[in-house]
Amino acid sequence: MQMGRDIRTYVIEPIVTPVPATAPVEAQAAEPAEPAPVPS
Amino acid sequence: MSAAPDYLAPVSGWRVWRIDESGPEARLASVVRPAAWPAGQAMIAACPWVGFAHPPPGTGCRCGIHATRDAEEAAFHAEVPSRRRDPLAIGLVALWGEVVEAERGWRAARAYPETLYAVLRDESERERFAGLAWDLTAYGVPAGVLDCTRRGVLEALLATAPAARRRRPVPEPVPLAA
Repeated sequence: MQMGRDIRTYVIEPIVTPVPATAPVEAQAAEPAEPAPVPS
Repeated sequence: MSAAPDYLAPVSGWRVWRIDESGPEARLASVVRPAAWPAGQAMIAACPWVGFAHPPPGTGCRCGIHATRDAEEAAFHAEVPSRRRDPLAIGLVALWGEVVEAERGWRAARAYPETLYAVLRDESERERFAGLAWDLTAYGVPAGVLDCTRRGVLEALLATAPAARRRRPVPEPVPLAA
């Protein structure tokens, strides 16, 4: 996905975790999460 | 993170996933690389550039977990012909940690799905996609089938997901107690 020009950076520390407690825990992915688009 | 956070609630964006059916149950995966999204744990980004490693999402890089501001943008990615070979999911994703805000979306260090729709394009596969949506409930978030058999992904989203009709605002700062 091309998101356009970067505007700003910030840090978010959620008070409540966005991961539901009801979800079973599975092994973390070994691969990097996201894309390495071709540099422009 | 040692610095005080700027926000205390995750930002929410739209995203497209590939549905990986290689395991016993279907799971989410990146559409651009073989990265699986585990249920029950935050997805953690890593910069894939060898020799250029840094904590994602780096400025001057394109790494991080991507999500779009508008449903329209994500729907466009779901309609890319080369991506129509694999079953896809579209939905909202919570982003947090270090986050780079860009013109049309965000790149984040951490993410977890909020709402998931398996994109059904062929009526004959309705039962299969109902099964995929059921598997996606393992993430502990609402999951269902997005019926795109007679309309495009965006049109189906607008009819199905109220959140698709509004542009997600950037979160306002949450005031800390004095």
